[in-house]
This record gives sequence, C-alpha cells and structure tokens, in this order.
Amino acid sequence: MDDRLLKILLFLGVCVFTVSVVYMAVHVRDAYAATHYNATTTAYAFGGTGAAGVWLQQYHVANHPPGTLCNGQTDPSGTWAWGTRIVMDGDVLQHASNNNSYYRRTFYLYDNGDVYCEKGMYWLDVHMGRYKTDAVQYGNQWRGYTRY
Amino acid sequence: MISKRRIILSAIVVGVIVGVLASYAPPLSARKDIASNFVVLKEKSSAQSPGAKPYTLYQAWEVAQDFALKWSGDAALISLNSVDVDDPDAVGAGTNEGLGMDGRRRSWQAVLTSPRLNKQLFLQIVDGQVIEAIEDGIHDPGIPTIAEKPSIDSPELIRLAQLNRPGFRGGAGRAIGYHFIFESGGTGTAEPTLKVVGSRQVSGQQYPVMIVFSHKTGQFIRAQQYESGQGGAKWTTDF
Repeated sequence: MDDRLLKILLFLGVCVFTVSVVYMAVHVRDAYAATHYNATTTAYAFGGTGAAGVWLQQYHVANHPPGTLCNGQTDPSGTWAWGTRIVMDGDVLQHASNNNSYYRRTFYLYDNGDVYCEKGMYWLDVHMGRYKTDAVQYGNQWRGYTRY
Repeated sequence: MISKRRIILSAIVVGVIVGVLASYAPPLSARKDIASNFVVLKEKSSAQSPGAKPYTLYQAWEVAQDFALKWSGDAALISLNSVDVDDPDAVGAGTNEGLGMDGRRRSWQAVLTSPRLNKQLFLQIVDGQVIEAIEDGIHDPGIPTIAEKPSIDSPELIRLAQLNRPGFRGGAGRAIGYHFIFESGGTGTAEPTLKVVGSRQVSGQQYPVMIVFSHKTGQFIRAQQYESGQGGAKWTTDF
C-alpha cells in the first residue's frame, strides 16, 4: 500500500472515531430520562374532566394517585407529573367519533384511579373517549410502555 | 510531505466539528412506524433549552401556532395547558406552591389536529421552545377545535380567579403551583374554556380546585373542587 493511501486511511479513521466520540458525548449528556415498564393496563370511557382538570380525550391515561399502596409498597408512579408522556410498546386500537378505527401509541397522564391498587404497580388506564365497548374489549392487558 | 502528526490533528479538528454539527442537526428523516401514525418529528433534548423563560398562556399559544402552521396550514388547536413535567422548577409536590402565580409557566403542552394530514400533533414547549413534537392518532372531526387566540391571558386569569374565589391558592397533591388550561370541550360542549387549576384549604385540608371561564365572553362559569367519595374521586359542583 502506498504512503498516500495510508495517510488518507489514517485521516479518515481518526476523523470517524472523533465524530463518534463527540456525537455520543453530546447525546448522552442531553438525553432526557426515559424508563421502560411492564404492567397491567386497562381502559375506561366517559371520563369527563380528569383529576388534572383537563377534559379527557382519547390520548389521555390515568394511573395511581400519590401514595397508593400496592401490597404494602408505595407505587412510585403516583409521583409522576401531570403531562408525563407514555409511549406504549404496541399500538392501541381506538375509534374516532365517526367510528373510523385507528391506532395510537402516545398518551399523556392527566387522571387518577384504582386507589386501592387492585391492578398492581405501574398500572395504566387508557381513556377510550365515549367508546365503552372499546374499553370493555380492551380488558386487562399486560403491556410494556416507556415513560418520558 | 505532510507529517502523520499533522494528519491526525486535522482529522481530530474535522471530527469534532462534524460531531458537534451532527449532534445538533435535526434528523434527516423522522422516525416512522409503519404500523401506526406514531411519528417523532422532534425528539426531546435538553440541548434546546435556552434557560429559564416562563411563558404566559398567550405566548405559549403563539409558539404552538407558529410550529403547527408550518407542520400543516390547516392545523387547529384542541388544547393548550401548562404542565409540571419537564419544568425544572416543579420538582416535588408541595415544594413550590406559588409557581405560576404571575401567570407564567416554563412547561406547556399543546395538542393540535390537521384534517388535511389526518393526524394529531403533540407539542412539548419548554422555556418558549418546542422541545418535542410527535404525530399520532388521526384527525377526529368530532373533537371541537379552537380557532381564536386565548381571549384572556394567564396573568389576568389568575387575577380573575382570585377575585372570584379569594381563598384560591397554588396546587395541592400532584400539581405544583397554578396551572392554566385552554381547551375545547371543557364543558362537555364545543365551547372553548379557560381554566385555572390550584387549590383551597378547607378545615385544614387542601383540595385541588379549578376555576372555569368562558373563552367567548370572559365570564366566570364555575369553581369546582376535586373530592374523593363513594364511587371514586370527582370534581364537585360550585364551592
């Protein structure tokens, strides 16, 4: 291999390495906390005004209020702030007001429920709007989700 | 002849410049999941925050509108409200009851919809900047939207709330400080409403309360208290 080619390879190698290090360093520093959970999820309908004061829509979820005891242990999810974004691992089937079905994955925490913790730690309740049938069909599902 | 040392040094300089630029550049293409409408248009990053810049409801509305109209010319607002999430000042319940007393909050969430794109848009606004933008769901023609700017800004909303209910104070329980909500459907009708959420003290106990104003007339509509009772917790009628 001639000297010129070696120098080009050396330049490119060092360059790529430096780009990777700098890129990762900046991203690791700036990353917002995102945590994954697996828990029982359920669904409800006709929520009206949620505990946070907002009119509940199909992109809202409820979880345990602060201090909820689950088998003697406080559910840490009770301290999650209003507006916490939840992204389900898989899609949730919902219906628009014209009955068109669609999928959604993003939900925002704006309501409370299950104060006696019948559903276990990190439980989530998905709001289905006025579609009670969707809530009933959803039932109890063990799902993975990420909190942002 | 160029020395090896010079080659390495220049490669490091080029690498640092490219690395920094790549870190702050928007993604070439948004992350798209084929199975759903979930698309991350802008990923959350603290690098975008310029420092504490609490915004009023009207200022947050302007930021949301500006972003949303670039997203889709027919974008219409469903709701805009202040939140504790991503607000560095709102850490730990009960720690900062007076937060938002001047009508300004650092963190806001907006939800908009576009009939043309048949999608909803979710924006997280912190310190006056959109730090996260997500598309998900579909445009639902049954959800009323708000065509106008807020008729009352949040500093005035606080003043009106305290005028109507003198014992009105910052949030209790999960919410920290005062919060502001501008939404459609808040009364169960298509009429947009403006709300201020806080708390009040009754017999030594603090309850979340919400004071509702008409967006159309600016008039006080009702004040409600959040109470637990048989059949669960709910917002009671006027206190």
